[in-house]
Amino acid sequence: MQVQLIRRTLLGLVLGLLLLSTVAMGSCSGKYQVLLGQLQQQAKIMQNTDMLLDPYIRIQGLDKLNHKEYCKERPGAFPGKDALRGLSRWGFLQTLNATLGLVLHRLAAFQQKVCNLTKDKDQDWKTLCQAELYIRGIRNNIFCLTRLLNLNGSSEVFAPTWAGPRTLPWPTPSPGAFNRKIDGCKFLQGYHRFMHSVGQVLGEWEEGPSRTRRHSPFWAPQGRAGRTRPSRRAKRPMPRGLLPP
Amino acid sequence: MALFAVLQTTFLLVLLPLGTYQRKVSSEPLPLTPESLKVSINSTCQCLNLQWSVHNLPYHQELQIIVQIQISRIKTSNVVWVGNYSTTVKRNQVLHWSWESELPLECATHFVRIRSVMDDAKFPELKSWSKWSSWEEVDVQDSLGHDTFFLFPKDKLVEEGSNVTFCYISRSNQNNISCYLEGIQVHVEQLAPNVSTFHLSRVPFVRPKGTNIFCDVTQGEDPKGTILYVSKVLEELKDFSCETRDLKTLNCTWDPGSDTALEIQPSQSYTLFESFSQKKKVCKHRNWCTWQVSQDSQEMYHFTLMAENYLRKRTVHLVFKLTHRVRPMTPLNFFLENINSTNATMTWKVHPIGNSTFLCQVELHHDGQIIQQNKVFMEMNGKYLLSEMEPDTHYLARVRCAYGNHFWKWSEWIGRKFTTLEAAPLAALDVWRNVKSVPGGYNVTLFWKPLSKFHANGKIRFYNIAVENLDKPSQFNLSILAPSNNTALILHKYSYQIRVTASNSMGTSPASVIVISGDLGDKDIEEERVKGTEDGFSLSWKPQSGDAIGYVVEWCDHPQDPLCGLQWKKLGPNTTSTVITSDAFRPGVRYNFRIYEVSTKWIASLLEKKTGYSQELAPSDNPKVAMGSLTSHSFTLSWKDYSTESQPGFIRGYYVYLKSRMEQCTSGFERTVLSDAPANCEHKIDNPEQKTFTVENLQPASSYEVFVTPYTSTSKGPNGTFTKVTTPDEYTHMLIRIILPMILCILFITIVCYFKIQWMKEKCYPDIPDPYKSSVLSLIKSKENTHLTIMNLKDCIPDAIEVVNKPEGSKTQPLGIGKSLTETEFTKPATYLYLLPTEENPSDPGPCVCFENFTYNQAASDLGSCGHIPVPPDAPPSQLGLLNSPENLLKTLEKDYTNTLGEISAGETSLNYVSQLASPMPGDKDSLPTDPPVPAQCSEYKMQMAVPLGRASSPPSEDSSLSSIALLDQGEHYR
Repeated sequence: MQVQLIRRTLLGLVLGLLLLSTVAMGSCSGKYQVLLGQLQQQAKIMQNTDMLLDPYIRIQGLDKLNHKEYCKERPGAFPGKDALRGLSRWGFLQTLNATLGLVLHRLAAFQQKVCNLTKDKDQDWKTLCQAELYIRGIRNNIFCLTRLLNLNGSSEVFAPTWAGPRTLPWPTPSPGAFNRKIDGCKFLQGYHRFMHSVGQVLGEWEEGPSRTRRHSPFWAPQGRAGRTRPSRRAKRPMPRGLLPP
Repeated sequence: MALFAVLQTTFLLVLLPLGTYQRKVSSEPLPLTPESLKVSINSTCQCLNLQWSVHNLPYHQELQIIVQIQISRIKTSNVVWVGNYSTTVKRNQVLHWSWESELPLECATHFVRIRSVMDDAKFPELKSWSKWSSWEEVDVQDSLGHDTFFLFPKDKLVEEGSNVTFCYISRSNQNNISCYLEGIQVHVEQLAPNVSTFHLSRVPFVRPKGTNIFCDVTQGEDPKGTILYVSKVLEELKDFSCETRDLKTLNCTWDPGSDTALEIQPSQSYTLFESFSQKKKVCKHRNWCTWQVSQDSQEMYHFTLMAENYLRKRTVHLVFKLTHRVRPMTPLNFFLENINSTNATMTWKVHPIGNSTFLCQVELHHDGQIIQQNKVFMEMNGKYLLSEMEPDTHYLARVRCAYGNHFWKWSEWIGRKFTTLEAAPLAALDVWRNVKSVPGGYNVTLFWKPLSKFHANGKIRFYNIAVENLDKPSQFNLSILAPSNNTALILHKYSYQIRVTASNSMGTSPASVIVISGDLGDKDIEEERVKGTEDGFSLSWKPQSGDAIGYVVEWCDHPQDPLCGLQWKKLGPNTTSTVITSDAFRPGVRYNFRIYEVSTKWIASLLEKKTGYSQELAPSDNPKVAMGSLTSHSFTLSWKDYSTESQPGFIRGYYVYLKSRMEQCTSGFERTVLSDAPANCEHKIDNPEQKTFTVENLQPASSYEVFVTPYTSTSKGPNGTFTKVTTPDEYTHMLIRIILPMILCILFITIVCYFKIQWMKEKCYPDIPDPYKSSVLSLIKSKENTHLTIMNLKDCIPDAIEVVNKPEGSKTQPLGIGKSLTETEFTKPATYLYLLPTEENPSDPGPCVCFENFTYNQAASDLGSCGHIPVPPDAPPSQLGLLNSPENLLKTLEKDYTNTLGEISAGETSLNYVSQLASPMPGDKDSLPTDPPVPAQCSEYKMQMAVPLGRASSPPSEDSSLSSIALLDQGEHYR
């Protein structure tokens, strides 16, 4: 337990520094390799179930169940690795941004409930509540990388995320609270797998911003000129699962 | 008979119409019969909601009725609940009633029917039950959907400690369904063919996210489950109180208890309701709420605080008069003015509340304790004089106030720390001295104890020492910086008066006077032992002179340290005893006390010496015992080097332990048992100065073990190692007396012999003169007489030869085996060759000197000083072949001379001297002559011959001692 605590603390420190490196500067880094390296590192960290799934399971009391058996990702809930590889860089980043936005939304709803309920905040709860900040850090890096890739002429830039009040409506509850717990578990399992795939795809981006057309930042954007936020209706792989409250 | 028939007919005629009427009544609905019964289900609360009406009420006014309700489960005959419901009813009124089912209603079909009865004394004729309504069936299983498994209740909210029944409907005919509460399997009972239930008793609160209850239905599929939200019980409200600080706002507080929030239930809400004003306020905080005091001079307030969650409400009431709940705000503008060494003035203000006065409490603290406390009535500005404080002391002054019209609570404190100014030291120093005489004067060390804070009145900066010579008027002053507490002075052999004072920033203390006399007057005072206790040392003394102005007891806290830690205690003139205590006193340490008498001239003279231990301990070590005076019956133990002064207790004596194999202890010892040793003999020495002991009455040639240990009043010394002692044999002593002189005598004789050996040699076997080197030759040569020469032996012609015969059996007879040589038999007596017969009597060799040479064989020498070894003349060379070769000869020569004669075989008998002039003893057949024949007229020694038992083959060398072997060659002459 103590090892886990130290591990979490270190993870939190790394992620916090990564987030601060982006936020504290107030502006994006102009270095592609720096941004890519940060994203890769963030993806690597976020694929660890210590960040979300494990504390979620403990908070929900699902650790008493055989969660390894039932807490499996629903097929198609998140884009697979091959689907992500097939995307252009711009499309990939937009998909990642949208997926993280959905996770943030669900996580924020869950946190709001938990944070209000739990006065004696334990470590699981703190980890879960901090995960929101980490994901926002990733989204900021996505924004910066997209802007860097877009310097060559594309106007398809979505705005960075912001840590203001959450106003999105509470999702429609599923038939029962127990099923919602299970669904949340599957969702987060899929999320961690998704971030693993994201890390692998990002690992193939070592060459630099100018590459073949398939990986060009200008490949795939269709009819998005002038918009600053990624559309939720984009016809690209999107997560279908929802994190339960 | 006819009359009976008439009466019977009449009776029947009367009864007939009655029966007809009754049949008419029963055919119509009774007036209280429930109609239009409708039953519905509320799954959230697991309630059956009943709704019905009573249309046929005979009266229009409201009537009191009792409704009896019957509820069956699964089938109508299985009645699970019957109860009455009392209510009022009007004609055509729709009545409602609800029943909460323990079993989730989705799991079983329920049937309900009701009937009623008038419960009003005004209508006794209607006091009979109406007809039952028809059974109303409630079944929701068909509306559940198409799933194969359902678990109820869904996400139910209950209070901690409740009992909850769960049920599931399985349409898949699965029999191996297991259900779990937080992973622990629960016992399931079958209620109907496809319905099972399980019951949870006194469910606990687990987590805000609810308790997980799930069933494994199909392998590989997600479990089917539900959440039981268990809320903590909303606690009673405690410590509800309201007060105002300004008569404008009321602040109400309470203890909220546990938070009952769950995922589906927010935290309990708090509402404040005031009865007189009928105002209500929902509180935003869990434990406090403000209430705006109305402007209409409302004096009385009646508050009701209500806490509420989904499951329970709690209320608490509070009635009070507003002016009785006034707690003033914290005073302000608190100042301390005119602070000097003993006084200070404190001032403050309070927030005004109308025209009310205030009661204020003033406190003065020092070292965390209240030293002054007072109450002051005031209106708006307060003032108080703090007095009787000590100089240079830290204080805390503070004040708080309460509403003057009616005391409710004090305000918070407001205060400040301050320090009074210094003042001159109050008391004289406690001074003592240590005087050591040195050549030409004294070495005086002055010690003083720091003034207490009370007496110092500030920080002592330095100490002043004024030394005045009383014999030769002179004076000098010293100033020692604080915090030093001693100084050394070197004074001449005069009397001095020393005055010591302490100074701070405000002045100097009174002087402490001490006089060093020119004559120390050291007296030889015997040291007296005292016994210390945990409380210290109780000392008493006898006054020496009647004019003492006091006494001083002096000691060292750490007597083993070089600095010693000198301590003293001054006592009054009428005191002749005291108890010396110190935290430094340790068990096992000897403390020495000196008691001085201080005269009217401030001269201290030694009165008594005391020594003792606060607690005596067992000796720390045992003496090293030396052994001495060991005899066959006693020995002496000595441990004179053992120091009794360094022991952790007064040595009272010694124990001598003796271990031996004897069962009885020797005299003076007693049988005892040491802690970890077998039985010993013990002897106790009561005199600590006795450091020798003689153990007596011991057995000769016996082993003993001895051990000496000291003892104090507490215990003996540590266990040690016994020293082993063995007493000598009783006769050894005597033997030594005899043998030692003998050895000395022999040694003396040996030495004498050594020095006289030349004399002996000359006497016994002088050197054989060499005729060729004879001086006679030189004389002859000098006379040039060439005819004169020494006769060569070769030139001699023997004139007689005697042949000796020896039998064969004697050839191999070992010499001396079991017999002495004298016993050796010869078949014929040995015959000697008279090589140089005398003219007178060749058979009588005459007197001759016999000489034996032991060089060749010790065995031969054993035969006697002049033994003649018989030589078998006829011994063949083969039989004597052992010495035929030179090697054999050398081997023989190398034989150990210590060989006894008996060990020498015939072959080994190598060389024997035969005197050239030896003559046989006629008639001596059996033995060698015990009286060897003395060669007659032997004026000088003849050439010795070595006679081997075998023929020597090697030629004799000139230098060899075996040169006489040449004789053997002569032996060949008679071959």
